[in-house]
Order: sequence, then C-alpha cells, then structure tokens
Amino acid sequence: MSDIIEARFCNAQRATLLQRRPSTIIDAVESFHPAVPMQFYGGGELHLVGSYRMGTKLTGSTRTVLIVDTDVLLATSAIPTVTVEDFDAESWSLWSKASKEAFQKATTAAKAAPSATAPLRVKRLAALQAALGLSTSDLAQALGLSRPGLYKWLDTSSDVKLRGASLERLAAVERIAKQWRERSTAPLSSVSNEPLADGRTVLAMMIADQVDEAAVVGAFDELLAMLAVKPKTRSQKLAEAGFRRRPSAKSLLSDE
Amino acid sequence: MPLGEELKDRGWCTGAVVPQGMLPAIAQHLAPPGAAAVEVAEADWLVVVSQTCDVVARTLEAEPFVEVLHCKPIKKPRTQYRDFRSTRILDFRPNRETHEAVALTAHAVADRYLVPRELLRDQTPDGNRHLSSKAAQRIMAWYALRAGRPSWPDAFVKRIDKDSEDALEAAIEPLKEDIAEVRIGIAEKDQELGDDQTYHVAVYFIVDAEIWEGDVEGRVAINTAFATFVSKLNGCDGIEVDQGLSEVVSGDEFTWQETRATDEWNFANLSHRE
Repeated sequence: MSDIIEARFCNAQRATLLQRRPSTIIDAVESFHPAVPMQFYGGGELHLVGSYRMGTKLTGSTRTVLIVDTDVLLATSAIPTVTVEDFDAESWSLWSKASKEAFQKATTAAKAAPSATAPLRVKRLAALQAALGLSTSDLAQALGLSRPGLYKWLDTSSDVKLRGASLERLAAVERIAKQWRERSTAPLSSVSNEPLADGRTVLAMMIADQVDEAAVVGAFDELLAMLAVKPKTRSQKLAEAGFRRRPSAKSLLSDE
Repeated sequence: MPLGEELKDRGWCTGAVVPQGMLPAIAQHLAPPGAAAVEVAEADWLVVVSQTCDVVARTLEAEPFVEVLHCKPIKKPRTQYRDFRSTRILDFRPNRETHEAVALTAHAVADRYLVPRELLRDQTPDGNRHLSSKAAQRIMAWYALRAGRPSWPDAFVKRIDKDSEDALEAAIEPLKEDIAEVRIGIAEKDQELGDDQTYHVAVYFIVDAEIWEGDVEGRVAINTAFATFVSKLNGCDGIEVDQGLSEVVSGDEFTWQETRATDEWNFANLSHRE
C-alpha cells in the first residue's frame, strides 16, 4: 500500500478505480504495470484524475505516462496538470501529494455540503426506475452511463450536474418511461427483453447508442399484448389460492 | 379437567396480566438469581409473554412454566427503545383502547421470570388490564428478533455512527408499510476488521411482488429510499457498498440462495453496542 495517499477512511465512492481507492490508483501507477491501458476515475465530484498508458498514440513511445484531465471540477482543481513532456519522478511526487490533498478536501466538502438539487435528481431517477424496472446495469446503459456513473447520479451527496448529451438522453428515456407508465402499472422490464415481431427487443433498442423513441413507443402495444398473456408467477398463484405472506414485524406499527 | 383446558377457560393467554392479588403466591419466583424477590408495584404490569399455545398446553410436563415480563410505567416510549430499536429494552403502549395514556418499559432478560404454570390454575387474569392484540404481537416479535438477529461485527457496527443511523432510518421510513424488505450481505461478516480495512456490503431492497407489478408510486418510494440508503451507508467511513451487486429486486426474483447469503437490515442489529 502506498503511503502517499492513505486509504484509511477515504470514501471509496468518491475516489474509485473500478470501485477501489485513491491509494490503488497511486499503487497502480507506481507499479508501472505495462499490460493494459487504464483510466482512473473518481466518483462524486472527482472526474477523470489520471490515465496511464503504455505505447499509445498519446506518447508515441513505450514509456509510461500520467496525464491529468484539466477539465476537472472545482473540487479537484488543486491537482496540477502533468504532461508527457515534463513527467518525471519529481512531478509524479508533486502530483500525488496534490492529489491526496484534493481528494481529502473534496471528500470533506462533499460530506459537509451535499447539493440541494441532489434529492430532486435522485427522485427523478427513482421515478424512472419505478416505471422501467430495469436492472441497474440496464438502466445505466439506457442512460449512456457506466454502472458506477449511475450510482454517482443516484448519490444524494454527489453534486454531479446533468448536462449536454447526458441530459438529453435522460430526457428521452424519461419520455419513453412516461409513455409506458400511461399504459401499464407493471414495469417495462416485465417484457422489455421479449423479442418483438421483427426480432428486436425493446431493451436492445433502449440501450443502443441512439435511442429511437418513436420505435420504442411504437412497440408498446405489442408489449402490452405480451404482458396480458404472461404466465402467472408462483407468488401470484399462491396469492390467488388464498396463501398470503405473513406481515413482518415492522408492520406492527408504533402506537405513537 | 386437563390443566391446559382449565387455564384456557380461566382466560390465560399471551398478554394476560397477573392480578395484584396473585402476587404473594408467586413472589418467590420473581427473583433474580441470588437476589431478593422484586417488588411489583400496583401500577406495574406483570404480563404473560409465553405463546398462548404453551400457556394452555395440555399437560404440566409439556410446559412446566410460563414466562412473565415485569413492565414498569414510564411517561412515554423513548425513541431509542421503541419500535424494535433495541433488542434489550422495549418501550411500548400496552393497550391504547383501555389505557390510552399508559406506556411501559421492560428489559428482555432482567425483567423476565419463570412462574410454575400450575400456580395459574386457581387464578384468573387481571380483569381490567391486558395487552392489546397488537401489543402482544409486538412483544413476541421483539423476542423473536432478539433471538434471531444476526450478530454483526462490532467493528462494522461502530462505523455506523448515530447521525448515519438516523439518516438510514429516515431513508427507509417509507418501507414501514411493508412494501419492501432491506437485506444486506457483509462479505466480512465474521471478521473484526482493523481501522485500515473496509467492510464490503451488498444492499438489496426486495420489493413485494404485488407492488413490483402494480404500484408505480410504491416503486418510486422504494427506489428513492434505495438510493438514499446506499448513499448514506456508503458514506460511512470504512464501509463500501458494492455497486456491482446492489439492486432493487422483485420479491419474485430474489432467490432462497440470496436470502441465505444476506441478513435483513434491522436497527436492532446495531443495538448490541448500547
């Protein structure tokens, strides 16, 4: 474990390398692992903090490089830019030191002052999930996000801003969800993976790079017909036969 | 007449209250080990907490004792001891219909006594006081929770501070209507980790199948609660929610295997740090 950035009690969600910690980023870069190009992302306010590649067109050479995206948000603006040309051991040391401070500052700031708009964003996504019922992975794809990216959107302590293509995609998926919700109380996921007459599935249409809203909505009548003849689940059969689940302890509501 | 039938006829059941006049006959059994018998004040409720089927068991050999709980009056139920927040102490209302203003408290073990069942034979329960059906169910559920809750590592529990606990409780408030169950898997559930190590947790909100299929607003509430809960739990230092696994899932899809690999989230599971 690197002693440059200490892992102890850093919030992993705000500094992740495939859900790992800032120290892992540092360790990975320090180890100069030559096998694969990698990109390191921080969650929450922390965007691309560095990438490390071997023999890519970025460098035109076989040396390991470290770059820092200058388009990071305020929280990580303290991280200095290190370019290919001036990268050396000293600049690495400076970068890692500054990164540590920026990570810690961002984590503290995020905990202290969650965005006022975050709950609204979360409710918006929750409404979307309620109508669609997709798995987190499928919903992330439908929104053009990675799974960690979707969790970042769902994080009430995250100040992530929805803008540009992301916002447009979200709006498109919301319009689809609204259309479905007007037609059924069941989640779209109940039938979204069923093949349509043309062999496609609505799920595939929704996670495509370009979502064709008209085509998706146009398939709804076909999906509703499938929903109507969908076999009953075991729990539905049990309920219809009079077998009901016991109430849980928490349903014994307080007398207060 | 068999003992069980006799007790049934006299009205003994879960939630029955031992009358004041009967106390001298059972006083010697109301004593902690090696200590003098406790005093049961007139305002106290000595409540039968054995299951009714055990109280009225046919033969004495089958069930030699009944369990009674010595409950004492308090002004009102305290937040940290009501609604199953603690598995040690329960504050509750015994019967809103007959005793609207009365609140009681009891310790699950320290206030529980075993009384020979045969001593109930010639007595009838208190005619003015008895637990409501709901209060009786709550006490039985409380004992079941105490016995059945998972033992989470102290080091894990300590990482959920009071503020986080309150935030988590607020997050899942909408689920009190029994529309979903929160389950978590802790990868290191048998380990007391050091401060520099992280507990990895998978969170599942299991949605009642009827809600999943037919109640959009219910699902909105559940998904909102899920996002908030995960965010707050992940915000606890030293706890990392596995975003690759955590999901809102229909009760029709969550399997027996997954149930066995996870524990129901319950604030009582955190109460052993009290």
